Amino acid sequence: MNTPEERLHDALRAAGEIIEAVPAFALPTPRLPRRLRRLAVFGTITALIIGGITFWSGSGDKEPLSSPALAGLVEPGEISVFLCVGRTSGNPACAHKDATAAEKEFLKQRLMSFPRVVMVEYQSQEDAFALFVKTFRDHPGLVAATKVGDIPDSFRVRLSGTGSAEPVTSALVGMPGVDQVVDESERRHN
Amino acid sequence: MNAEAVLLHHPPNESMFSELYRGHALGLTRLAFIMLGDRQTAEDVVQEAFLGLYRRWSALRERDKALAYVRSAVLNGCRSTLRRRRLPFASAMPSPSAEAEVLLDEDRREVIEALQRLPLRQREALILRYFLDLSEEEIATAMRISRGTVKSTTSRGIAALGRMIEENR
Repeated sequence: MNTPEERLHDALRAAGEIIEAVPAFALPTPRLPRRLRRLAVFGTITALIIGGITFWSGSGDKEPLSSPALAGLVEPGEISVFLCVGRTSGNPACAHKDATAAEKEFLKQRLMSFPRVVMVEYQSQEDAFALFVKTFRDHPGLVAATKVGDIPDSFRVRLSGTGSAEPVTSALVGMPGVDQVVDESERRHN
Repeated sequence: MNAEAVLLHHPPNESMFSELYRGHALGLTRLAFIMLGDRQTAEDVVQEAFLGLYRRWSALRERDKALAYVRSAVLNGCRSTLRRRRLPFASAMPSPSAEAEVLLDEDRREVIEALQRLPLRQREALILRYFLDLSEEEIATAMRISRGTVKSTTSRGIAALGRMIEENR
């Protein structure tokens, strides 16, 4: 690899790869001032994604979490490990910082070290946002007020067998870069 | 009804628009990142370019036209960002490829540094050719210059780059 062309090609490729992903395309919506929109939407998303509370029921009653609105966001038999996002994580342990690449890698290794863990899948903020947009496509107001980063990235973890997920979840709580750990099966049965 | 509301009621062909975004936003962001040196500005330039495409969708429905538009818009966004940085107070702005230089090995850093010393048009032509692998025709459209000019700009750029790399040996 000696010609300037070859070296340039290689150097550009390497420099470009520093950027691993791009945010989803977001159409700006001027309806509410940005800060108000953010305030309005944080509670909603946190409630939907983290708390598993149904927002659209109106009555305030809890609907089963297999409701169509949440079907795309929650898989059965899973643990979700939500990662720290500087801008939105309420957990003081996150210290308003994003989980670092090293923390994510360490968490992934730790997750895979559990014999019962059969699958660990990283869901990026872009993927989570895309899923959110797809799931709430009938609620354009909510989608318009949301952007990449409002929904944290996470590890989707699948366990084999039927025993409690507790040993895995409790090992992860409080690890660097972890915002919240949610046992999806428990949430479903509540 | 304001302009945004109109857009929401007459959105572009979503699947084609998002296919273009999925297929090209990353490459164009990388291109802008190489030109500008910081990822936030690169992302902003690309978002802005796709927003422009979104707004002009009715005129740019053909895939090739849309792609040509968005490439030109990204180049223009980079140019005006670079112009702004030459204004007073620009010293607070990140230098070109500051982030790239930290993360690249020495060989590649040398090439990127040499590239940054080339005139803007030569740099653009080389990045379009050797990073996006565009044809002469596509480069001409994106830069809004003739194919002949693409050819001469590219060959002058690569010759100058070669000399700079040689000098460092």
